[in-house]
Amino acid sequence: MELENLRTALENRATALRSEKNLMIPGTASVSILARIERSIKWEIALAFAFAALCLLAIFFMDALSERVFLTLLLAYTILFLFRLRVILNKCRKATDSSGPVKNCIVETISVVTSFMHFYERLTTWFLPLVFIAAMVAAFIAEFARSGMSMHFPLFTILASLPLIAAWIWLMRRFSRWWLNRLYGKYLQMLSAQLTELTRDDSYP
Amino acid sequence: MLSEKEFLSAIREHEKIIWKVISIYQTNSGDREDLRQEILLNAWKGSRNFRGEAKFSTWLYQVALNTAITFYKKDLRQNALREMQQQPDEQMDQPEMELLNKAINELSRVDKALVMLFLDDYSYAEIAVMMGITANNVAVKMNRIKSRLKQKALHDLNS
Repeated sequence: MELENLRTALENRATALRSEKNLMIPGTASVSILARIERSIKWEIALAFAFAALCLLAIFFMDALSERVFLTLLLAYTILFLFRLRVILNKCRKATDSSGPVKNCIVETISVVTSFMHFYERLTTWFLPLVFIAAMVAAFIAEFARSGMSMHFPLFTILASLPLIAAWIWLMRRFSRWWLNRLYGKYLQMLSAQLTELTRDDSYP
Repeated sequence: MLSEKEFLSAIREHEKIIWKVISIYQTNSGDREDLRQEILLNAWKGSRNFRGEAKFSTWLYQVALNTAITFYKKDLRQNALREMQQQPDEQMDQPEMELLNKAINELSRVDKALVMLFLDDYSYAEIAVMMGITANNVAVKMNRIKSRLKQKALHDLNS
């Protein structure tokens, strides 16, 4: 097939498909991966803000030191996540601005998806175990404050919990990797293959 | 920055670019509509940064190609199946169209972009800027695509 034929055929194909649909700017009913990630991050930010506000309120109303320690830890953790979410959201917005060169767009998109995957992996791997540890520390502090120096140090409980926590972290890590790979792995692979293909002949004389 | 009215009027004038990109990248009518919406949305978002340094048609081409190349619906399994099946379009019953369909579908997403820009008379230097690669790289890739298409045409002629 000559290129001229191809040009004509492409024009015909586009003309055949062209419909007289009303031209309007769509709302946010986007189905692409990036749009979904952006929406998901916005939800996470809203939830994290609400959660941080609740923690802050609770800190003022709680009397017990242990509860305050526990909530402060949670608050600090949430604020850290908020910063990270903000960074990913900015990256996502930059990647959806598709008026730059194709290569840059692919690189940005890969970067956003990878950041998002790493973030979620860390969140699911560490969040629940950390909250659990914080709760244990809080309980220990409360008990220590109540019974003073006469309290027996719960060495056995701590030793028994350690392998459980380690197994928990390991399982969460395996699960989140599998799940994220199932959702985004193919997409990342496809984009990486395109990037490789795009840059393949760059050093060709 | 373009107003909504100016933007829609400019899009209407260059709508054929969007349809060309859609026709080359999506074979399924449902996916085509999704891609069209995505291109329009991205173009509208990006129009805030459009300063008129490039022609509107070139800018729209860039947005449409970027969106099409990185477009992937979340329903990965279904999407992959659709791409594998490459269902022929109901409007493409002519033999020439079938040949074209086959030839185009065998190209990678990047090659499709290169072919489209080349057929729309963009120079290698312009294509290089739009793709973010060197003009030399564009030339090498275009030569490879041309010879592949020629081989395909010969093969189809013989068979």
